Amino acid sequence: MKFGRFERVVLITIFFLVVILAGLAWIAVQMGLPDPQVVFPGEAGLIGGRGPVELRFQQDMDRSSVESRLSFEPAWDGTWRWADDRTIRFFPKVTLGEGTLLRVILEQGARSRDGRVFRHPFSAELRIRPTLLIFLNDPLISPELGGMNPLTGEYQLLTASGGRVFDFAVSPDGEKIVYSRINLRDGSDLILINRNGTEEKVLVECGDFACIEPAWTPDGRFLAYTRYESSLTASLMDGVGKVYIVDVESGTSNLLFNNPGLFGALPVFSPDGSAVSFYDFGEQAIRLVNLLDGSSSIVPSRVAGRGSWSPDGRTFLVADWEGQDAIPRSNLFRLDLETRSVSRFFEESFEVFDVSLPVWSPDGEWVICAVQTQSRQEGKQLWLFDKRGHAVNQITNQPQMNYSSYQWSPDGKRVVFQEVNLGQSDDSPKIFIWQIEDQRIERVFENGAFPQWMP
Amino acid sequence: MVPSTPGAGIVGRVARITTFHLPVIIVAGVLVMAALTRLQQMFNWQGEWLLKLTEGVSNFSAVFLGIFIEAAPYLLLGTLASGLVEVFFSPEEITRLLPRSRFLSIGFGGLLGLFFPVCECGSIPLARRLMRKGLPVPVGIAFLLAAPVINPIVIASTFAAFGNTPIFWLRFGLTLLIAIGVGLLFMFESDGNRVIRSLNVELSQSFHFHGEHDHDFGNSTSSVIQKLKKVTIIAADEFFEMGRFLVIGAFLAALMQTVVPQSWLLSLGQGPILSAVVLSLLAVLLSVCSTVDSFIALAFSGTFSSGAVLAFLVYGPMVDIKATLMYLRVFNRRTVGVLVILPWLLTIISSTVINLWMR
Repeated sequence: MKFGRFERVVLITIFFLVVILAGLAWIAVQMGLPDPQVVFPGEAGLIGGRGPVELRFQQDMDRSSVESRLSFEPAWDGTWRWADDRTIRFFPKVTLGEGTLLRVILEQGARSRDGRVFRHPFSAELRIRPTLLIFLNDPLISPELGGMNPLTGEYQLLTASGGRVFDFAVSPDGEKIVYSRINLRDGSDLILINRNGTEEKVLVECGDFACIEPAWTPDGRFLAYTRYESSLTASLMDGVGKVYIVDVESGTSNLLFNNPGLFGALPVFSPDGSAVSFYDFGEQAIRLVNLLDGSSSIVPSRVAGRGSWSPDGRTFLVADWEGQDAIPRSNLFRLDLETRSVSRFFEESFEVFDVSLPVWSPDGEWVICAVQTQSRQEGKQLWLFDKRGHAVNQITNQPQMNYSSYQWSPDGKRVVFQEVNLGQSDDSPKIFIWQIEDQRIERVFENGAFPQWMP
Repeated sequence: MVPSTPGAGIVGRVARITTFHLPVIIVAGVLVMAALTRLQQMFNWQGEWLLKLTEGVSNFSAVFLGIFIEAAPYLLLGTLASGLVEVFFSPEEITRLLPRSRFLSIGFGGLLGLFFPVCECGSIPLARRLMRKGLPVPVGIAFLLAAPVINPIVIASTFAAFGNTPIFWLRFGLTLLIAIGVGLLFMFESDGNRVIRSLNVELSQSFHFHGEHDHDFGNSTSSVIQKLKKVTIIAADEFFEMGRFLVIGAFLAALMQTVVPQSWLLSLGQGPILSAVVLSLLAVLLSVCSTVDSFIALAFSGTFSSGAVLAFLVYGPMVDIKATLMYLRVFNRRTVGVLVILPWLLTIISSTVINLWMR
């Protein structure tokens, strides 16, 4: 076969292009895999104290080869979970305090599914971002969600609903907030926003009905809420609701239990998400449901409220009336979820008229509770108890004030709470922080209510 | 009835049947299959194999019709432009439009698509016409390869999909570079007749034009009405000539897409080179018109690297199943080989470089 000039030039060109391609293939092998990307939800380098830390690869990875080479410096206890073959997320067991510096490290040798290798170690520096406070601003007149950094005093309104915010819940990772917004038909819808108030999205539209009391699953993928099939005003008076669950990503909403005859409210998930508790109107008790096997049990509670899961998920605290007085006293009871035994939480000598929902510290060693100890006329005061129910410290002692909505900071070093003056019905609630280390109480906001930490 | 040509043997007869009757058989077949699917749905015929068959047929019909309907208007536009060039421009005028420098004229060919908003189906008849009217072959090749991308419609659709991103700019830059590069290579071919096939007289006879293509349509004494009439005759002639190959190409592409699942192809590789190879082959397989391919590529941008997505966006408009069949109608096989292989190698190399160093 005889080639003309054109054919010869074409063949030479193809030869050179193939050589270049082979060279590129060699370079690609030498370079190895490209570095993964650490995905930061907001400002680069900053993550929440409760994670998650997300690493995204550019190719499908051999999962075990990655998991075995991932670590933090200093060590951070938790679990790595794959979202798909390219995305892995770390969910910590321990919450880190703001400002903590750490590095996520991927040692060399991790492989992609097509056999390519990371030829050098990868690391990225992370810093725990400041924990913010989210609360209802001007709760009596025109409630809107506000957020503030309690260390700097920096404050920002997150919603502009026209004073129609009713209640809210911050997602466990601090990336989202869901709040119920009263609509024009006196129902309320659930609205989802980012941590900075942007990207507002109607998550559940309820029309004439009231959808309130949102509660996140620990993984932040789902949200339980109570749907009262009456207007919000009627619901608050004598409503009987049903617990629903909504997929935050898709917005698909369903009854939490496929039992239309089961009426409930105030859902709370266990720390590992394997169980849920809610108030069962029919039984006048708190019902605990194991979501893994569907089994359920009830803890009597005529005080229609929530229960409180200990961080290890082994103990559940619940308030109930006790005694035969004409005006019953409420007290706190401990349900040991392993032995199924119920016992009084406080010591016998600790006299109580009324208690509110107790809150466990993140390490499970301490419990904070608002308790009425002196008389029925005084406000509930904040007390610190150890996990066995021994009173350790009375945090507040202002009988004319009532304290509520208390919550431990994610690192367990601070407690935020709300103060209401019982003597002045038009006085606005105030938000305070109790510093555990020096026992100092500091007022952080003048006209706010229901504070929650946002990691 | 196709007239028999003296001297044609069994091969010629087969070729004639293929080019003349196959498109009709394909269209009829697709319609019959669609009707069978509808009947199955209406009468709820059961059976696992029947359900699988009707599902496959349904997919095939949808893909076939999708490709055909998407490409046909651009083919018509291209053949109309071809008719206009034939009737209103003389070879001298075409040559006068070009820059004097051969290199610049090839660059000019690469940008000529800005004035002819056609996808690959339209650029092929137009390139052929321009080359027949005296446009140098290297310039025609640069136009042929670049015009499906370097044109206003594709610029707008790519911007709509990717916005002002590197992918948007690189798509046009790489396409232009590759088109000019391949065009430059054709400067080494001194004989244009060795590149383009001679006109098939039989095809013209089948449409009763009796070789009117060889008439001087550019005769200045004809009235504008007569000239426009000639434009439509040429456009219709070329539309049906190329349309046959579009039908066969769409059929093959639909068949390949039904038989070879995309998921299988996509799972083949993700490396810097393999990902570009996979997406360039997928572009050939899908045979999507360049005016809409950006939106398909956008779906890959989450899974594949930028270089691979660019391989899809750059190579697909130059070479796909239907375009290759149409190339075979216009160019000799050697030229088609060059038009398929060289752009592919250049695309893979540039995509790999992007994957390795630009990400």
